[in-house]
Amino acid sequence: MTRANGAAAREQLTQLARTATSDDTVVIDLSAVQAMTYSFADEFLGKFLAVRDDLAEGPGFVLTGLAEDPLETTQLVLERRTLAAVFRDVAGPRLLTRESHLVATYERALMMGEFRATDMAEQLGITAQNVNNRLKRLSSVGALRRRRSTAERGGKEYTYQSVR
Amino acid sequence: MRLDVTGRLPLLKHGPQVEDDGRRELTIDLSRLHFASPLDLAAVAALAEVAIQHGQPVTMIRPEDPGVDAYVARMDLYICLDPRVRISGDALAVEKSARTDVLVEVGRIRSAQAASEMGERFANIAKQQGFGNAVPGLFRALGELLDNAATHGQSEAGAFAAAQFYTGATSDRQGLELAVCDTGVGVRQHLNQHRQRFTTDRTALDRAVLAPITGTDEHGRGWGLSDVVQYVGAHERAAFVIASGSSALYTSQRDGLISRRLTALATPIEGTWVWLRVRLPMKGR
Repeated sequence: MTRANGAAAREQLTQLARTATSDDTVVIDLSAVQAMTYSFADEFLGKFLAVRDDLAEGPGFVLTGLAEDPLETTQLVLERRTLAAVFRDVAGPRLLTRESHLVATYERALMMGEFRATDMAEQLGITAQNVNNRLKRLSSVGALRRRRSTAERGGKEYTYQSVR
Repeated sequence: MRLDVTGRLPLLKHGPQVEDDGRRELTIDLSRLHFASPLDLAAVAALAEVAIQHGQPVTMIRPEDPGVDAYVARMDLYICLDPRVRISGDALAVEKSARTDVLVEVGRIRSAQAASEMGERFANIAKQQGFGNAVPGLFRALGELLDNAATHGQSEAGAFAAAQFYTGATSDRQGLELAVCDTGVGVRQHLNQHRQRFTTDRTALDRAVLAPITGTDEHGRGWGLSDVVQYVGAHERAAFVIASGSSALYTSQRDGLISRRLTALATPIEGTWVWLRVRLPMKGR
């Protein structure tokens, strides 16, 4: 409960994220949480995921242990902030978001292993610009791991891998 | 100045009506009080505190009815008041058994931690009284109200909160009621801190329960009150009151119909008062 508590929790998570590498996955286990107020969840998760553009090449993030009500609250936060997050339960990982195109991209990524943007664009039948926008958004919320590599003809490109 | 707190649920039903009796001292007269809701108690505490903070002497006259006086004492109203408040009459020896399953005594909220602890106590009543699956939703609603008081309603006096579960066995009231009365800047002034330009408390309140609107400059804020009103709309016989400045908004749901009413207060409130009532879920839901 309370934004202040959410801010304190976010600060702890931020500090942890700064120590993690791009090979790590930060698992946020909320199994001890029976209920969360919207304000707490927004301050904790909403704000944390909203400012992660600078950590797009950082660790992955996965939510686990969300009971029905905290899950509903989390989904509401993500919807209102137009964000997404990976949630893993007994059924496996899935992307929490209302944006179906991001869900489709993430689900395809789960099947592809390591891939480049052009690979995904071909799989989904969409343009490079379109797929780059999706991959950037998924990377910024820790749903995809993004690494720099050298393109076949030289120059830099990114490879991606789903976080699960 | 004089405030008569008379009859049943006076402040909940009518708001404060402070009259000028030619004296600087504020007299809060509970002598003819017959039944007090959590809002009546928390609001009396808030009014006394505001007066004290403004340097105004305060005298509180205890209820003449011993049963009412005992209840007010049991709810810790007298002991949570500033020691400068003069309380008339003899102190009643109240046998205080732990009733964490039905009530939360009037308490002061001055921090996020205090708000969290109060919220836990409220939720505990809901759990023990059989609200079952409805507890998390109720926790979210009351959590927003407590958080608002702790975040936006802060002042030197803080806020006051109380709760009571009514079985309906001895009164016509059934359900869990909770109230939070803060002594902060009020809804209109809070919203006007950033971009908004409300000229009346009425329009500010009316807008505050629609989403999203915030008095901060942070993106994504401002859903709290509207979420509470939505919660009321989704629960049979739930009701919500918010009063701030010179206006109060009453909203309730019955048989699927949502009623909403804005009224003017005879005496403006310094800060914001909120009251929420929820009924036990019907069997099978």
